[in-house]
Amino acid sequence: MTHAAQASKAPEVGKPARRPHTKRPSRRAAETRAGYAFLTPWLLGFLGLTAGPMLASLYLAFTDYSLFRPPEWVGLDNFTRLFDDPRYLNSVEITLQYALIGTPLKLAAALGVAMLLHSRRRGQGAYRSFFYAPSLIGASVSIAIVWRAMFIDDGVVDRLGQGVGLEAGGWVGDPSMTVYMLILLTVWQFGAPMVIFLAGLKQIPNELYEAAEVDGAGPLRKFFRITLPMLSPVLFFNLVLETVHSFQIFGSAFIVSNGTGGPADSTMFYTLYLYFRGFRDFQMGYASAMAWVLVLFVGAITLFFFKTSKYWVHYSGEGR
Amino acid sequence: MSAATHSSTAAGSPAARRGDSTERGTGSAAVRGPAPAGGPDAARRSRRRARARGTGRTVLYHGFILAVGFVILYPGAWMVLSAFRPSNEIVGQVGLIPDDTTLDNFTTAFSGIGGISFWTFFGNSLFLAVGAVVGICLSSTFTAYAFARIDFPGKGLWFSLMIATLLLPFHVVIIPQYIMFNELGLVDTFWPLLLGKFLAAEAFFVFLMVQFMRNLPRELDESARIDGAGHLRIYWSIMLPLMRPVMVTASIFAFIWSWNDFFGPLIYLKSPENYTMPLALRQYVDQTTVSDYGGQMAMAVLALVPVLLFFIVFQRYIVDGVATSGLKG
Amino acid sequence: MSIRKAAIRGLAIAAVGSLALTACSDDSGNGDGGSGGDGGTVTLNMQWWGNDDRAARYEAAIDAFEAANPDIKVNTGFAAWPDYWTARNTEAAGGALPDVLQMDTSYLRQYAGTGQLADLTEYVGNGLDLSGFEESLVESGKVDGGLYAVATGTNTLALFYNPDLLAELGVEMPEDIGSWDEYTALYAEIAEAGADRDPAVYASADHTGTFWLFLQWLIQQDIDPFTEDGGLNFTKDDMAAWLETTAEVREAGDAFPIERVVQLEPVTPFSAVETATEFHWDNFLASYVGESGVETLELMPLPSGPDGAKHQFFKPTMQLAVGANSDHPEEAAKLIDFLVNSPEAGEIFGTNLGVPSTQAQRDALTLEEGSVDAKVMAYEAMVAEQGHVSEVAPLPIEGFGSIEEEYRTLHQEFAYGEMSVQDFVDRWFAEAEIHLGG
Repeated sequence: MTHAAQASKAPEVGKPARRPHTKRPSRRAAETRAGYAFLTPWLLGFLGLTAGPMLASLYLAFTDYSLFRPPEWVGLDNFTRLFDDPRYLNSVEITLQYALIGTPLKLAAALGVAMLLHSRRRGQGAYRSFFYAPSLIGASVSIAIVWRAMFIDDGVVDRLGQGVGLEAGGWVGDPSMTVYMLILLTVWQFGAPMVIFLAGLKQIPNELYEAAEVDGAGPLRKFFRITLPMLSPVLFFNLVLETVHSFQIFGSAFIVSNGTGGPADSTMFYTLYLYFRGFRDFQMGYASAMAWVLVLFVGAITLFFFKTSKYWVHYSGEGR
Repeated sequence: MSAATHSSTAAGSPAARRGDSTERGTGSAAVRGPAPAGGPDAARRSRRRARARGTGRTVLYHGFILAVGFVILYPGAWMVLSAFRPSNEIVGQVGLIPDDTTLDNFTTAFSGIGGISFWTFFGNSLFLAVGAVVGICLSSTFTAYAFARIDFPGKGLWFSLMIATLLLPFHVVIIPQYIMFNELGLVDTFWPLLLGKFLAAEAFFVFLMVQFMRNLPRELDESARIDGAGHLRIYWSIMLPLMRPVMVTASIFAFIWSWNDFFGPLIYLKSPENYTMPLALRQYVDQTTVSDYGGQMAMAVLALVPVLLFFIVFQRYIVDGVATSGLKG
Repeated sequence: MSIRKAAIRGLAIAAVGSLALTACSDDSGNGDGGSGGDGGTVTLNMQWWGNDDRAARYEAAIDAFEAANPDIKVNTGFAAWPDYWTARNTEAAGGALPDVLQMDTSYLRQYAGTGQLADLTEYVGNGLDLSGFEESLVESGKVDGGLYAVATGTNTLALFYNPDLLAELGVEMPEDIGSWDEYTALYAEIAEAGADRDPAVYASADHTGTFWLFLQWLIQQDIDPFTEDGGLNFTKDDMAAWLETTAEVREAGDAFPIERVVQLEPVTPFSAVETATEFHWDNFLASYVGESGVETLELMPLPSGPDGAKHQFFKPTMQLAVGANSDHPEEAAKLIDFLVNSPEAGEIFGTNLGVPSTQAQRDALTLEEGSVDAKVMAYEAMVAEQGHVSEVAPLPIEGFGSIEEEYRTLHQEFAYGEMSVQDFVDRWFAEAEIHLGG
């Protein structure tokens, strides 16, 4: 909320001093009119494309709606069905698995490489761009297709495995491996959080390290005592963003599984299942219930991060 | 509803705080390129330190960086080279040096799918991407102007709600949106994919613009006001030109995101002559019963060409944009 | 900077301009094509499922249709089976189906029952000629007395086999397979003979995964799969018994590994020449030959049931229907008429859409000795003459398409060994209840 407060405070501070008081009321009305005039496109979009649809889907979540027949009120049926639906529970499980393994790995890779790059200045810019590139194309259909081709039976990854004596076969056909294949795909895109980490590292004053060196701190101690706390706001930001994003994985799983969520539902992530129920089976009510559970879950996770953040996120302004 | 509001107010803060904490960055890095943060002093120090630690670490450093670089590069390089290999020699070719090159795959790719030309798909994608750029640049600067420069009752509430949509999983709106566009007879047109762009529905861009606009000196519009300029004039002839750097960043991302978008077109575009590149690519994989890896790879490469071109030309803007705003790729 | 600025400005103008253009063209194209009569042309939109091969045939047939009817233009599109139905479902929801669409019996009731399809009765004998059709085939397109779909042809299930591959393995295919046990015994024999090859060759992937085969097996056990009012007429025990028929095969690991099935998709193991046999609809011979490159593939009747008879049935391969929202049902009926009656179209399609419904089209096929079309035609003639086909197709109940898809998905998980027979059956029945109950 602070930002909003700032936003509305700033102009108030500046204006009254310069403007004659007598003009204020009419000026205010004009400002209000102008404000809403400028806000109109966004307001239309917000009400028509976000808020309205959200309420509509909240209503649909309590109905049985196939699009072919009018919605029929079923109370909490859709929600109770969710917890009896093995395919739904499976989708929750693998989505969590993906998020809880993929996000930390990705952030660890991002932080590691960022620190490495930060330790030398020369060539940093070029490396930074270069390592960022996968983040830009990683979500594309093209890369998902390449990924599938690389992890298939006798594909590149299988061959490399055979080279070191692993007879794992293709990951694409193995339901216990497909999630890891997609985790590798997301870790491969560590560039975006890395760039943000690098920006954060630049903000840490060098004097802190120098002082620590004088105290005889080793690299490990410097990392835990200075880098990590100073970086915690950035880490926090990355963590929230990456976690929330990873719950919404769709395209890559869709392509890698050839549009099936298979094999054996092993890539039937939350949003894929929602898509299939909603847009293939036309159980729009059921799909809406799934969407709302996702919203509530993402809300809860974000809230959790924020509630716990005061114990581990260090804002330099407050800390000192 | 209440939980969503929570999530969203919550959601807003990190971005907001981050934005605040890196405002310095917005000014220096984004606009003017790499300002060595530590100053020349730091550079000299680190150089001295490096020399002292000996060449072993330098070798280790470069070795490691190169290893990471190789992992990064490999899938892309493999894709490009596979596109030039005969179809039956692609899967399992570990090496990156083609022994047998061919352009057949590209001929196949350019010949299109089901009688529809490759260029139709390319054109559709281009149209949508350009539309997204125009829509986002106009609508989000417009909206940002209201939030950053005008004072009116209810602004705080609207701003929080806008921030709230940042992390909102869009799946919750997709079903009613679909029903709505369906009722309007707009399914299988480009409208559902563009309308939101022109109505500033993507909060990230609005937020980006607000952050940038707040850092522009207020004296500019104050003096214009004294000269009798209205908000529209100030927006159009003072703000917009000043916002060029952030608009370039936003345009690049708007373009690339639209270009790579899969879910939206998947739901809304029905007839093949309206397909975008990603949909066509998926269709191609689906329809070639005998796995034609060569054709797939060639199309995959062609689908990425504009993105890669953008990246090469604008990489500084892109990466600095990420660094300062937390934009995702 | 100025170049970039100019470029952005240019793009903006271009974009706004073209947006206006699409708006216009959308109006004329979608809105009321009826007034498309301005220029004297009517534009039809047609969609089907299939692959490149079928697409090429449709294109050729439609070119011929357009040549014969210069005042009708046909826009076409196609997708693979699952995507096709997702797309049609979304369109049906908004009353925006194509003018002409390929239909399947498994979805017919759902679409006709909810008023998505046009009743073609008034066009019969009046632009749509069904006089060459067998009565039962016409009946298959009727729902509650209205005619909603026209069959393109017929097909029946068959066991495909690869004689060359079997010869290489030294395995002899029986002339006739007297029971499902006899067929199941082939799994072990072929798995053993093909183990040393790279890739290893198997008899087939576990065939209990095919829903239609389960229905066929039920019919052989004298059980009608569905009730008149659209419910299930078999029990959990029936399904469990069917799945148990290949229990030994699964335990011994003699079925084609599911890991590989998944990776070969969309090609089947039989097409990849990694299995020697596969059950499928007889009209698939053409795609099998095309995909495998093996010209000598053969097909034979199914294993017999307990009473020693096959109890096979003919079913409409696929159907053509008209969206209820079509502005040009008359022209749409005309197109259907052309596709099912004209010898020209018959020659173009061959047996790709099944053995053609009408004698006129059957006669138009160029039946070279040993050709795909000749084999399929001969097979259908043979199973009819020998009395192997003695049943009617199971009722295409509403929701059939969904329960079939659930069966396929569940069986995949089952094939990975992640589920017991009992779990499989319980879960499928739970899903079926949702799909059929609603």
